[in-house]
Amino acid sequence: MASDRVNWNGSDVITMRYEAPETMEAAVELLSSDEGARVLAGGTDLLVQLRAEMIEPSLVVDVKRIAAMREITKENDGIRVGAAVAGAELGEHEEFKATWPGVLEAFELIGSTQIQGRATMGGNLCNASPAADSVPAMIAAGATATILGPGGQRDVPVEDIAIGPGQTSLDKGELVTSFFFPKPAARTGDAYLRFIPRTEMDIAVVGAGICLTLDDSDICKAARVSLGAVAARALVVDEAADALIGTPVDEAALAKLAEAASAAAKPIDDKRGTKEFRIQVMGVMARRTAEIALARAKAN
Amino acid sequence: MSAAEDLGYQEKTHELKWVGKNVTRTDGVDKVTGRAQFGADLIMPGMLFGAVLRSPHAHAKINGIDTSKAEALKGVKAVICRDDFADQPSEMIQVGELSVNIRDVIRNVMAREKAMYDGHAIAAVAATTAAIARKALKLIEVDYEVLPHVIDVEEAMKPDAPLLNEDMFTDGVDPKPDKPSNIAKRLEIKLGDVEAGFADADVVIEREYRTRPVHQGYIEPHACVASYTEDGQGEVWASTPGHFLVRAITARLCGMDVSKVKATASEIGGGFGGKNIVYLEPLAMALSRKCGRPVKMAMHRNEVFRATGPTSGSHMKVKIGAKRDGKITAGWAELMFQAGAFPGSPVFPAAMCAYACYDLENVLVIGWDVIANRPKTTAYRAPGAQISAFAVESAMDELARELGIDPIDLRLMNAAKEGTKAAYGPTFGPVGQVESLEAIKNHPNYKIPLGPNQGRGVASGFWFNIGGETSVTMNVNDDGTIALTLGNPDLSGTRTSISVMAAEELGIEPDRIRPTIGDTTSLGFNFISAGSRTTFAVGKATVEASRVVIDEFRARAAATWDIPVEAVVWEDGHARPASSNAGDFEPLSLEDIAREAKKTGGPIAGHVETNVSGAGPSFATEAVDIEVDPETGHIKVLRFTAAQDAGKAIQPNFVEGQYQGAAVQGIGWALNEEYIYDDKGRLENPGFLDYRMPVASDLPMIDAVIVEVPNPNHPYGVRGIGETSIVPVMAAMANALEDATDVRINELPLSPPRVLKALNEKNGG
Amino acid sequence: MRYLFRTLAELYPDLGPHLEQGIAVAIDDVIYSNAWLEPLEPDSEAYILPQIGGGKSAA
Repeated sequence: MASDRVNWNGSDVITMRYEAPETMEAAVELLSSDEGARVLAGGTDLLVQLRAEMIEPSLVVDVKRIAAMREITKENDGIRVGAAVAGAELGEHEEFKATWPGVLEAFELIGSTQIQGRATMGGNLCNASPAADSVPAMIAAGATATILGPGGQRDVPVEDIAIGPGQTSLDKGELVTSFFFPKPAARTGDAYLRFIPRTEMDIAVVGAGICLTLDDSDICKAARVSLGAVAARALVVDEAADALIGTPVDEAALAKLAEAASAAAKPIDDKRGTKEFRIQVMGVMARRTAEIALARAKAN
Repeated sequence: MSAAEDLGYQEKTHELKWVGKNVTRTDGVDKVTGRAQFGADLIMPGMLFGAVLRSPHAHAKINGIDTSKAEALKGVKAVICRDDFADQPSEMIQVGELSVNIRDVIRNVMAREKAMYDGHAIAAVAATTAAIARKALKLIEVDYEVLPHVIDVEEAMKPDAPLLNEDMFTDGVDPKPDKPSNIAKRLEIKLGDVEAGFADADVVIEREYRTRPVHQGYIEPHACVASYTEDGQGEVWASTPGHFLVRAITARLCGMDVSKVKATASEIGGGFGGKNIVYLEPLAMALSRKCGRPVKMAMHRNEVFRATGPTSGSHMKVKIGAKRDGKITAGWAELMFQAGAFPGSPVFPAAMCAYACYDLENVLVIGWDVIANRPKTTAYRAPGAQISAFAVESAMDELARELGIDPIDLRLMNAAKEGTKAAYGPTFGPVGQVESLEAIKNHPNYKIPLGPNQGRGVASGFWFNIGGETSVTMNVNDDGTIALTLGNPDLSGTRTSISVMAAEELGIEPDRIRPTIGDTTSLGFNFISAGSRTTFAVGKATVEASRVVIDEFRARAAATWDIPVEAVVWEDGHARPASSNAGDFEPLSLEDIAREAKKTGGPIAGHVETNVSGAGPSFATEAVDIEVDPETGHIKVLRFTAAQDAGKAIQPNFVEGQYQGAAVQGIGWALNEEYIYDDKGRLENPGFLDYRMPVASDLPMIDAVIVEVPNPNHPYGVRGIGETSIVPVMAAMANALEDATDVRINELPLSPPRVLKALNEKNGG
Repeated sequence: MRYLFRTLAELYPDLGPHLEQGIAVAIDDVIYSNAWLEPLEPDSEAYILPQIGGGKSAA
C-alpha cells in the first residue's frame, strides 16, 4: 500500500507508507521493520504533528483496525481496555463508567466531541505529553499497560511508560495494546480534575488524579495521587497519598495533601502558565480532586 | 439639496412591512449547507498553489536571497521576492478613502531591506502542488544579519531601543527631533483647559493602564486566487471586505492600470477590520504574471497569527477630575500605542473616542504612535476606542466608588447628548448615550442579587461610524423581480438588510429581490465594508436607487394612462392615480410595469453613485456579572447585558448577533487573549489552542438590548451597529473584578495567573 | 466649503497637504467625508478632523 506522497524528481522522492494491519503481531512486525515508523491510533496528535510538519514518518501503522485493541473486556480481577478504544466508546461502557468515573472523566476531557470519537488512551499515553489528561487518572487507578513487542509481551505500570516530553520507555517495535484496571477494593473512589483558563478545548495547566479507599469507619486506608503538567511527566506523589492515609480526609488532611502536591510540583514557566501559578493551583486542584474521590468512595 | 436632506429620517406614518421584522437571511442556506464559496474555494484549470517564506527573525537585515535551488525543483513554476516589485516612494495614497503609506505597504507585503517581525514575508513560490511549494520554500537561502529587536511599546519608546527605521523622526513635536526614534507621531485632542478643570476638581483619579495586542480571530484565513494573462489583464478573487481596495493596491504594487485588475470578492468568513488591507493578492498576481497560470494562496492559521494585523498593545495614563457631586471637571489621557512594524496604530481614533461618552468642558488626550518588531496592526472592531475605553471607563468606575455614586448615575450625570460638543470636534445631534445607560439601569439583570465572589461591572463606549463612497445598481427584471447589485462584501447579513429596505420602498416581498455583490467592473467605486457603514451607507444609497426606480415606474404608468407623472403615486407595490381627479385607472403592479417595459421605454433600472454622509454615532452601555474562583483566579462570566443604540434595527436578530459577537470578542480580550513571544521575538502561540479566545462553554447567553434613537440622516434612522458593543467590555470586566474581590487590575488580560497574583497580594501572600 | 479650504491653505500653508487628503469635516452635527461641495451657512460650525477608517466590517 505504499504511495508516493510527492514525486518531485528522480532523486528526491519522499515516501510515506501507510499500513493498517489487522493483528497486533503484524503491527509489531511493521513497527520493527522501519526506523521512521509511527503508530496511528486516533490520530488526534499524530495528524496535527504531520500537518504542522513537526514529524515526517516514513511509515504510519494504523492500529484502529486491530479488533483486539478496540475491545473492552471483563476479566476476573478487573477490566481490560484496548489501547485503541476511543473516548466515546469507553463512555458508553456502563461498568467502566460505574467503576472508574475518574479515569473516564479524565479521558473525556480531551478535546471536543469530535476528538472523542477518535482519541485513545494508548495515544494519549504514548504521545507522552506531560499534560496528558488520562494519564494521572490511570496512574491513580493503578492501571498497567500491556505491551507487545518483538521480544514478546510484558506488563508495565502506566507511570513507567512516559519518561519525558515526547519520550517513552518503549523499545523499538513495541506497542501498547491494552490497559488493565484492577478491580477496586470496596469503598474506593477516584477522580480527576485539571485547571485550564477556559472551560474546554484546552490543555491542562495542572492536573490531579486521585484514587482512595476508605475503611468501615471512613478512614482512608489506601490512596494514590498522580499529578500532571507540573513535571516532565506525570508524577506519582507518595507524600501526597500519605497525607490522606490514616485520616478521615478532613480539612487538616486535605491541607497537608495540598501542601504536598504543591511541594512535589516542579513546573516550568511557559505559554500555558507561570511556575508560581502552577505550584499554587496544583495544591488547590489536588484538594478538590480528593474531595470528589472521597464522596465517591463513601457512595461505593 | 444634498442627499442627506433628501434621504433624511422620516417618522413613518404607516406600519413598516419588512423593516424591523426578521426575514430569512439571503446567504443563510448557502452558509449552513457549506455551499458558500469562500476565499480558498475557487479552483481554476491549471491552477498553481502558492506559499510564502516567512522570516524566522524578529528583526534582521536581508543581505541576500538565493532562490535558484527552489526554482530548479520540479513542479515549481515561479519564485518571487523583493526584486520582483518596484519600490514605492513614501507617499500617502488614497486607497479608496483609506490613507496608507505605499512605501510601508510594499514593505509589509514583502520585506525589502529588513525583516521587521517574525513571520514577515520574504519570498513566495508557486508550484503544481501545495506540498511542492512548501518544499521549495525550504530551498530558498536567505542571508540574514540578525539585529536587536524590540517587542514592547514601552521598551520601543526608550532612547536606547533598537531602531526599526533610521529615517523616522517623530512627527507632531516641536521642535522637530534631531534623532530618529521608534516614535512615529504625537497627536493631541484638546477641548477647553484641563489645568483649570483639575484645579476646580474635588476628587482626581489618576491611573496607568496596559493592554496587549489581540487578534481579530476571524475563522477564515486570508486566501485568494490571482490570474494574469498574456495580454496584461489580471483578475483576482479574494476573501476581503473591499475588493475595490484589493484592486487598488494590487494594481499599484504590480505596476498595472486599475482597469487591468478585475477583483471579485468571495464570501468572507469574518474580518472585523483585520482584512482591511492586503497581504497575499499582490504576491499571487506577481507569481501568476511570472508563470502565466492562476495561483491560489491561502494562509495557514500560524501565518495569520504571525503576519497579519492584530490591534495595538498599549500603555496609557488617565486622569479624571470631578466635583463631589459627580460633575466631571476635566479628563486627561496619554495613550502610547504600539503600531507594529510600520506606523499607523489606531491611536488617533482612540484619542478621539476616549471621552466621547461624556459632556465635558475640558479634555486633553495625547497620543503616541510607536513602531515595534511585531506585525503591522490593522483595524479591529472600533479600532482604538476599546483600548482607550478600558482606561477611561476603569477610571470612571474608580471615580464612582470614590464618590459613592452608582456607576450608571455618574455616567448619566455626565452623559453626552444632543448639543454636546465632542472633544474631537463635532457637536452631537440626537444620540443614544442616555438611553443606553437607562436601558441597563432598568434591565432586570441589573437588579439580580449577587452571591459570594461575584461582582458586577458597568462601562460605556462610543464609535463614530462612517459613510463613504457607495455605488448601487437596481435592475428590474421582466417578471417584476429585482436584481440588486451592491459593491460591499457582506459580513453580517448586510445584503439581506439592504434588500429589506429596498422591499419596503418598492412595496414587494424581500425574496423578490436578489442581492449580489458585484465585481469591480460592474459598479462604480465602493469604499470597503468597514466602520459599520454597510447597512447605513449602502442601505441609504439603495433607498435612493429604489426611489429612482419608483419614479420611473410612475413615469411608465403615467405614459400608459396618458396623464402627468405628478398625478401618479406609488403605493404598496402599485402605481395608482393620485386621486380620482387624475382619472379612473386600475392600479398597475410592479409586475405589470416590468412586463410591459419594452413597450414603454425599455429596461428599467436605478443606479446611484454617491459619497454617503451623515453616519450616526452609536453609544453602548454594558453590564457584566462575574464570579471569581478565589483559589485559582479563574473568572466565570455569569451574565452579560449589552445595550447599544442602533438608530433603527432593520433586522433585529442580526443586530443582536452583532452585539453578542462584539461582547464575546471583548470577553476574550479581557480574559485570556495575548501574544506570547520568546526572547528572540518569535511568537510562541500562533494558534487557537494557546491563543485563548473564548469557546462556547465559557460564555453565558449575551442579552442584547436594542436601543433606538433614530439617526436623522438616514431614511429609516439607521446607525452603524457593528462595532460599539466591543468598546465597553474590557473595562466592564475589570470593574466587575473589583466589585467581586476588591482587587483592581489595570492590565489586560485578566488571566488566572494575573488575578491570582493580585489576590495573593491583597491577602498578604 | 471648498472656498474655506482654499482660504485656510492660503493662510496656513502647512495645512495644505493635510487638507488635500485624509480629512473629514463636521458641519454642525453631520460628518462629511468629502465635503468640498457642501454649502456652509453663515452660522455653521465646521470642524476639520482626521478621516475615520473603521474596523469591523458590518451592519
